[in-house]
Amino acid sequence: MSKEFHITSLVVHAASKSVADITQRLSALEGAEIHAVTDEGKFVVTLEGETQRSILDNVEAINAFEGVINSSLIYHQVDPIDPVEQKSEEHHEH
Amino acid sequence: MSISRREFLKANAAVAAATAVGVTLPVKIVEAAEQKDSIKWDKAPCRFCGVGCSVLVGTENGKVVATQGDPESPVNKGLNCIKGYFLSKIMYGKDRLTTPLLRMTDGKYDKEGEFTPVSWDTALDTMADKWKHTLKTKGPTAVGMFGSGQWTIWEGYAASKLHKAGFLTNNIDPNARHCMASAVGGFMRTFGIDEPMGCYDDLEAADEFVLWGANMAEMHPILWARLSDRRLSSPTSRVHVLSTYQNRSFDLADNAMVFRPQSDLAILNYIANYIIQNDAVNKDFVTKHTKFALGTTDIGYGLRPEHPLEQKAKNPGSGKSAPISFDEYAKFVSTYTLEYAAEMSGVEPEKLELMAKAYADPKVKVMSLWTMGINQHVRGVWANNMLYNIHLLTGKIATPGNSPFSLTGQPSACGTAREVGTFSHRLPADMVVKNPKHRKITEDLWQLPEGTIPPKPGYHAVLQTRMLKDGKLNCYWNMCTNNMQAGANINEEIYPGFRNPENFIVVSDPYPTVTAMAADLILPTAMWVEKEGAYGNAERRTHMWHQQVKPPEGAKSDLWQLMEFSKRFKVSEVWPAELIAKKPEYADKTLYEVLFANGVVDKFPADECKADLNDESDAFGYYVQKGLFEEYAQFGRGHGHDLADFDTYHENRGARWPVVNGKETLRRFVEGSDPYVKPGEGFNFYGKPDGKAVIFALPYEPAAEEPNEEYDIWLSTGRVLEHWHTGSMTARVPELYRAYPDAQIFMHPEDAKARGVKRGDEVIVASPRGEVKTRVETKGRNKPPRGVAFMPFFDARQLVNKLLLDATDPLSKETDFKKCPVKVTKA
Amino acid sequence: MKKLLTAAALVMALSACSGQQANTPAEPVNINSLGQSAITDTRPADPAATYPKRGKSIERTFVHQPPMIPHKAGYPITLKKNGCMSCHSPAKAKRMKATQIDPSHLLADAKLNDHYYNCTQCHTPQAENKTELVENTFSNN
Repeated sequence: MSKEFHITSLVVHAASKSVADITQRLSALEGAEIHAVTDEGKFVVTLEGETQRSILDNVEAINAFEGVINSSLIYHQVDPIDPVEQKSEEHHEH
Repeated sequence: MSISRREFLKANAAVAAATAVGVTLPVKIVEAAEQKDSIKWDKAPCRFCGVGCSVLVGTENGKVVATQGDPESPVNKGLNCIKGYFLSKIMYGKDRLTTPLLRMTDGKYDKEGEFTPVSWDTALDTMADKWKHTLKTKGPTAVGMFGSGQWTIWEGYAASKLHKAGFLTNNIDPNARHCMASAVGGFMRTFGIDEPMGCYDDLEAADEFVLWGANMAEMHPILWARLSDRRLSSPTSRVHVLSTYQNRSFDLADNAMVFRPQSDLAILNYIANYIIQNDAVNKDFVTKHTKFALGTTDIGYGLRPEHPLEQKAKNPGSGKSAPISFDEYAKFVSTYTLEYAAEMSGVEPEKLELMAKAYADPKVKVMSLWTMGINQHVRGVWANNMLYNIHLLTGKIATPGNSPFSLTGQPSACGTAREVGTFSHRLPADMVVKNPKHRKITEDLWQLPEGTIPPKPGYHAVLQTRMLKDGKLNCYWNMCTNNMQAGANINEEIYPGFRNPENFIVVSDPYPTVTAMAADLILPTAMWVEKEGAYGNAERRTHMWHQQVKPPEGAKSDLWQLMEFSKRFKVSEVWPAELIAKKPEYADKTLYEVLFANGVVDKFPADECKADLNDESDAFGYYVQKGLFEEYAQFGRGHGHDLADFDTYHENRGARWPVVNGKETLRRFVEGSDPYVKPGEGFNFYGKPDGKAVIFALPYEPAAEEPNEEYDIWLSTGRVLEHWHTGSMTARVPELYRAYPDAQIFMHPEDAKARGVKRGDEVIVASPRGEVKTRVETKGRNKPPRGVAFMPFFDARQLVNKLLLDATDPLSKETDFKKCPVKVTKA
Repeated sequence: MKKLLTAAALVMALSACSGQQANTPAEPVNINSLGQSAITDTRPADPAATYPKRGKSIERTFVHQPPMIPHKAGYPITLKKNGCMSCHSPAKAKRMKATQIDPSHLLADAKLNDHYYNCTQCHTPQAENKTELVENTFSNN
């Protein structure tokens, strides 16, 4: 079975008093990257991993952070990791 | 999978999430995401103004999904203005028309009926019946068309041919009559050949710039960006700005001048006088390359003949002139002293002198730029002539940076309206219907019998609306234009003409415009990259684009409409017997067969088109656009208007004519640049038989109307940066609408106070011909002096041109949209 | 995707009533210009546009779209001074919590390229009390 590259983005809304704490905890998560934070405490985050499981585990972990009001999945894409360059047809945007 | 693809996917994901919460991401991430490889990019000229920027159009799944500035374009060098950036959305207003709509009652055409969907066959058959009946009962002068400087070159060519050679009428005129006719008149009178000798490269070569009424910061933003760049990066360069009110272009002015409406004529003659008085005439140039003439004066205001102002004029409509000497010219302008010009214009004398010095100093390269302030002027042709006078007296012409430059309003006012000659008096390549030789050349190229083209000019734009009202023009087709909003005197002339029960009015448009609402039949029309096209911009650049998406189901291009309509007429139904007798083999043919399937237009196979889409070629079975272009190009090749071969324009970002031996021409009339000027001549103004340009002695004459006790403030109408003309495209783009949602009247705060109103108040603006309600703006981008107001015309909810008198330049027949006395009262 | 479906449904609905396949006469349609009134009427002016004093960056709707200005923008751009630079220049953007101007507009020394000097020819504010005259079905995918 060939390997896959999973990429997901989500908006994580944190309570304003928890923004600093959550910034730290998100940064510590493997495969997670913060791209922006709004004044209202909304984080633009991407998660990458080689299996869907690893992504979902991270999403669950984020939801469990103290101070997270909610999180919403925005985008998910799977690309095969092949020796030969190949483009994925899978493309979901919500 | 490469790392870069991984980064790209991550960027896409991040941008999607950021978009959801309205955050702007760092540029690097956005750039990575923008490399989305599923978008197909192709070039097209911008759909809006006369600058002629090139844009890259991104398409995906049959729709335009993005547009951006074209980095390879020599005109805009990757930059766009706000309108150009939002081209991507102009085709997607939800109210796009997708079926012909005919006014009907109980299933039958009824002028007072309601718009009812009909098939294309029903629509075109109904039209053909009306046209045939009118042609038979009233003759060819009772049918006509109002076209556009936004038509593609072949659409204008096909329309012109259909009317002049098919219906045997010269009643075809473009909306360019409202914007560029005075410029054309000026060129023909001074040089005998249309369009600027210089080019946009002069923006980087000039030392000083003079804006004559043009507000380039809003109306020609990309050229303004180039001019600003030149000014800011070259501390010795200077910008002089003249206008009747302070506008955005004043923000970068070194010498800002607000003059009284109409006094530009006095200022122009003052500069000529200054040049002569200060011994700054380039005598060698003037002797070799110019001659002088005295123009006829007191020429009226292009109104209906019974109007008191026409009755009063001594020489209404006369463009005659008589040769004079340099000394006589010098004497003529000698009364235009600095004191007189300052008094007439209200401009401080030292400012006028500073500008005059720039023109007079032989070391300073000067570029003059103008558009509607000079053209939409009851003495527009004169004002154009007088601008050339200044450049000719000093020999500052056709060399880098020395450039009298007539800016254009519409994207193909040059390419389609002027070069193709879709005017009521013109033929291709600057030829005119009055000239028997020109008619002969045209008839030969079109394979028509002698006497096909009528020698008498047809109804020009303003005359068309008058003749509709008078019941003399009865079948009228409006294409690619919105005159019920853009034309002057809507209440008294245009609207009654459209609704005259004797008339059948057809409007072709992508959207239900104000004009469409006044029609009897509306035809849903394909636009911009929904068809293959070519435009010609202000610097003589011809440029082309391919069809990139399908139009909405049911919408058809102007070209398809014109050609399909021509199939419904047999020659024997529309030509008189004596004409058919000269070519009896045409009798049973249709106009389509004679004009389009004529062995020339249909000579290129459809598969020569390199694009994925070409609806017209599919419909007619040959490469229609190429055939029309190549037939048309024969008119100009070898006659100073040489175009390159068709395919070249699909490869490059356009080329400036004349294109001779594959080389474009940057500057005409000058040795070394223009292939038509022989070695040793230096300059040759070959539009005139003796090669000499004409310097005209012309006076100041007053505007048609001036403010009086009741209508006590001058009103000028015009455009704004964010909208194109009547807003039928741009007002349907939410971002552009929100950027400039409603028209306003710009006034001096003291003028507002004197009328008991303040900023934001609703007011009634009225003239003897109508009124509109709008709101007062005293602090915005335009700051008029006391006694002057400005109001844009893009807003269909505020039809400001209702107020204007349909006074025109008597020579060019172009309306003066800039000088209407009105009163402003609290609503 | 939802938008696309709506557009497709509209096209189908209109072509169905275009009379091309129907023998029964079609019903009149209700169309309106942006004039929102009869041509000969004098329509009252809408409320004046208002622009927010400050605001959050506005979502871009397609690639290469220049960002819109989320606040009112009457700042002078003159020979002497470019008012936009007081907040958006690379040196000041962070401190002013403003979007930094795009690097494509800068020269090598991080100074503004004069070709891009007239910011408001591409970037314009958005009225807060206006939405649209007609729905636009543009979609970026």
